Amino acid sequence: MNKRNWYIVTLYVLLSVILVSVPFWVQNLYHLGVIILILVNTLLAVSLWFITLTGQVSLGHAAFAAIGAYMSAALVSTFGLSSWLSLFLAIAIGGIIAAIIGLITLRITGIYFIVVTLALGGIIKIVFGMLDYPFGGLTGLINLPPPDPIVIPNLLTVTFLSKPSIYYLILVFVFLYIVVMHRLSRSSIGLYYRGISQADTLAEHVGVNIMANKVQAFVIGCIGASLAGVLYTYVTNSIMPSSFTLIQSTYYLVFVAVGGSISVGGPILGTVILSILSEILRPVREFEPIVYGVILIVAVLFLRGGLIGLVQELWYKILGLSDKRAGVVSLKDLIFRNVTRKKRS
Amino acid sequence: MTLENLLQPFIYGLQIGFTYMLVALGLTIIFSIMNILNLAHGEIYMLGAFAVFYFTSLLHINYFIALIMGVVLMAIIGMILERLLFRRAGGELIPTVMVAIGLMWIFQTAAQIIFGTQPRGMAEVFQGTVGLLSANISNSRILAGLISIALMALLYFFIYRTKPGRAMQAIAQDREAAAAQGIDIARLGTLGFALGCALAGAAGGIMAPIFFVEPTMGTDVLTKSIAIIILGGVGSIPGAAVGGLILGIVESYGSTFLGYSATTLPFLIMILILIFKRTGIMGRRT
Repeated sequence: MNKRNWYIVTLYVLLSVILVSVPFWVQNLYHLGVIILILVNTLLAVSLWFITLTGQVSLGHAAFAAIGAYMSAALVSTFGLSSWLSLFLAIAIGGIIAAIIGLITLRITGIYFIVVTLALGGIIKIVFGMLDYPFGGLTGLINLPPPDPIVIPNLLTVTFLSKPSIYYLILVFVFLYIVVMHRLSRSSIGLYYRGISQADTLAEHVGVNIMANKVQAFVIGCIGASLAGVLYTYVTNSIMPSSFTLIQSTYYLVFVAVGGSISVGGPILGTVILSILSEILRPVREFEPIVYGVILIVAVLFLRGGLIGLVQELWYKILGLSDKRAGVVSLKDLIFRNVTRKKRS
Repeated sequence: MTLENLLQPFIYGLQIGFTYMLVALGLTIIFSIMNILNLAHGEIYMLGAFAVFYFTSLLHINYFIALIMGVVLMAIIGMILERLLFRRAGGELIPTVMVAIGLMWIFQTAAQIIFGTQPRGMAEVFQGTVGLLSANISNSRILAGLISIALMALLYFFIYRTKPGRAMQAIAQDREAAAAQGIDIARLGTLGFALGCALAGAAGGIMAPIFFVEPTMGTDVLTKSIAIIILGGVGSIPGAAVGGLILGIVESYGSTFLGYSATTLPFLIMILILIFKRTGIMGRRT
């Protein structure tokens, strides 16, 4: 193993030790709750980041979290389904709605996708607020039961009654989703997405189906958002129409913009740093949107690569590597991959 | 169902439609000249309303002069925003959208902190109502409708009859060709942005005596004007005008007969248009 791999292995081991040991050194349940919500927000930011890889921006990401949360909550509390089946159905419904909206709005280039997702983010609260059955109307659904225990007969039973157990459950889901997104973004799929975002005409000419790829990215991202919504109900045990608002959808956008989009580390870094900032700002909560707004504008105008871009530059400097921009796809790569793929098949 | 039930919402819808039309036209002008989707447009509308509210109720300026002052103020704000922020974002859609979102929060939250979250009512300019057949139309509504129509006529004259207006049309059709003809794109961009913001501010000032003035009033109007643009066809000025009227009337009947759930109508309209006629009613084929 060379020097670089050692650094990476050490970093990952350190990170996983920290993440696994969190419930042991965070005894305060309020702080643990905050950390769990940061995990959920990370999931939302990463899933939004995945959509932005194709060069699209969804302004209604929180709407899908609301859909996931409401579906799972209603299926569990009103229809009495098992929580794991509800989780699966909720994210499936989120994915189907995303597919429908994607197929309608992504056939055409332009502002349609942005504005429809914006409008969706705005009305979702009204829609759920109107439906008394099965979504509880304006009061929402409260006192939701914790997720069902996982039972393997004669071997083990895992219950999710305590906060630390919820933490581990959510950590597992978030970790799995992030790993899958990371692998996808580094696979040929990610290459197609970046190709579409940087040179859509060229990508189309080498045989990349632009619309199918955009819809695919949107559906995968929204499945992540719906999952985050379901996990959110495990933390709060309730869901209200005001839980996921339009402004939150755009907060996730700040997480991505500040963190940077060249790799999955960007949205994670952005979420963690801005969530900590938001906790610091808690005493002056009403100013929070102003701070976020200024940060967003500064990040967009002056920090195009995001924080992760800076970190990466620093990282390469430490390792003494030349500054290669991992996120920027060379168009040659894209064409080459397609041609070789055609030949193989 | 009496005639009164049908006529009154129609006339109110017409008036609201004319005012929405101004906001949507501002958004369209900014979008077609600069390729910027100004999501902070609703906040400019809100600031325009607040400006007129404060000019009339605190400084006791005549409503019409206050309206002109508000419009000029919004135009200046628009100019500053374009020069300072949007130009640096480089004319790409997504960075400009993000800048606009940042501005949206900053304006809305600053307004909540500075002006307070309480909705404020403004004194009517001309009190009383006019009876028309079976409907009772308040004078404020008539005045708002008339000012909107007058502004629309001015805008029409500006865009189709004056040199800068025609230059703007040229930029909207083909940037490079327009630049090759010696049109100063950067300068007209600033002018277009100022014009767009002035229209939004005017709409806010016109609505101020009719509805409550509050910091969150812009978000709703933004969604509606986006729906109008999609309905009329993106980038089409006559489309935005017709779309505004249709949305105003639909919304007016909707809130009469459906109540709260009518707030979802703009979204439904958008989706239906995108499914069945995605170029909008008057949009060009793309």
